[in-house]
Amino acid sequence: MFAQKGVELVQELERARDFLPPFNEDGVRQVLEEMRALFEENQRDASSAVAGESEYITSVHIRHCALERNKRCLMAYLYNRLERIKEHRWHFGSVLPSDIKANICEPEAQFFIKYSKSLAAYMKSIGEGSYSLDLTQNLKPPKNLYIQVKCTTEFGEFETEDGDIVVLKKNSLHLLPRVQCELLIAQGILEHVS
Amino acid sequence: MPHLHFSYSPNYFSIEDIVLQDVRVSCKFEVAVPKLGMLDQSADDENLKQGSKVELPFWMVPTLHAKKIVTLEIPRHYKVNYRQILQADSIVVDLHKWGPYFYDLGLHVANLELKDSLDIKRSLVETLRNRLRQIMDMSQHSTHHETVHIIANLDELERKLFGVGQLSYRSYKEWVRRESSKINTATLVASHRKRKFAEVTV
Repeated sequence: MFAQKGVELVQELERARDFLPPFNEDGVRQVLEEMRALFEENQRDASSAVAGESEYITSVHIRHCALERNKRCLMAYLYNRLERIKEHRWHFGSVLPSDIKANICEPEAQFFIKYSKSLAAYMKSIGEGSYSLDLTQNLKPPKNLYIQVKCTTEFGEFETEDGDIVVLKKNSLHLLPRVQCELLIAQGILEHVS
Repeated sequence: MPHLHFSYSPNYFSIEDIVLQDVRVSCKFEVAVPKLGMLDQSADDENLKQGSKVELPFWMVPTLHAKKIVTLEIPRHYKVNYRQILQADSIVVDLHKWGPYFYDLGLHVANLELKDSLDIKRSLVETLRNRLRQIMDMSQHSTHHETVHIIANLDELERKLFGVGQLSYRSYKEWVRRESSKINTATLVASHRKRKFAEVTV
């Protein structure tokens, strides 16, 4: 049946809801190949229809349907991957872990860089003067200035903006200003305890 | 935060909509179609004969139906007798068995402008309206163990609604416990770590 490979590509994304599977270059190539074959057959039938044999028109319609279906599968595959990459910027920050980077193809990596740049430019523009508003922080309304955090992994030394150096050992508890820890908590290095 | 929401009105990029339209429906070809005999797997002909009954994937149907190349036989769960079952008591019906995408496919079928379209649409709305109350109720008041049994009879749309209800209940509980101000690890980061941990330990 037509467009089986296309649906397989899309199903790859459906199965992997919370991570990005490696870019399936092979799958994309196969779908494009099927589209090319369908298109060539359609061209042949369409030109014979123009020449007078009108019985091939129905086949043209069906193949065209299959072409549109393949196109939709490819577009959805690419679009949904890009949406997930955008989400990655908000969850992981502007630097992605290397194993996730390995799953992204080159144009998608370029998209990520440009998206990060766009986001940074926007955040800079809504501040006043040289102060830029970091939208990825304070996702929940803050309740206090200092928070109690526990370190989950051996991180080493961490320097806060005021210059204090904090040694983050596994399971150590610290009382730190909220703004300094938000990024580390989001990345899972620190854990907010109440 | 950019978020890809589940949309139940079919959106061109919706993964779910693409996958659900792969379901096979029974169609009759009103005209002969040369060279595409491979669509009919029971016959061994290079061409499709006029009048042949073929199981086609649903995504082909809207165009072919509009151009009068095929006539669709309404999938059995949307026919009169099944609609009557729903009218009698929709709450006990196992909609997951009737098609995991009962409402979505029903809407696609009804939009084809068939004789039964209006009745199908009315039946879909009535069914959802009748079942909704129990779904809402269950999503707010059930424990983890009962959930599996409850959602077994729900179709995908209802399962999404159930999930939303549960999430809202959990958020409320979190707020009552004053944990809503607690900063959490980003969801993607947490699942990434879990997966890495699983890979290393295996």
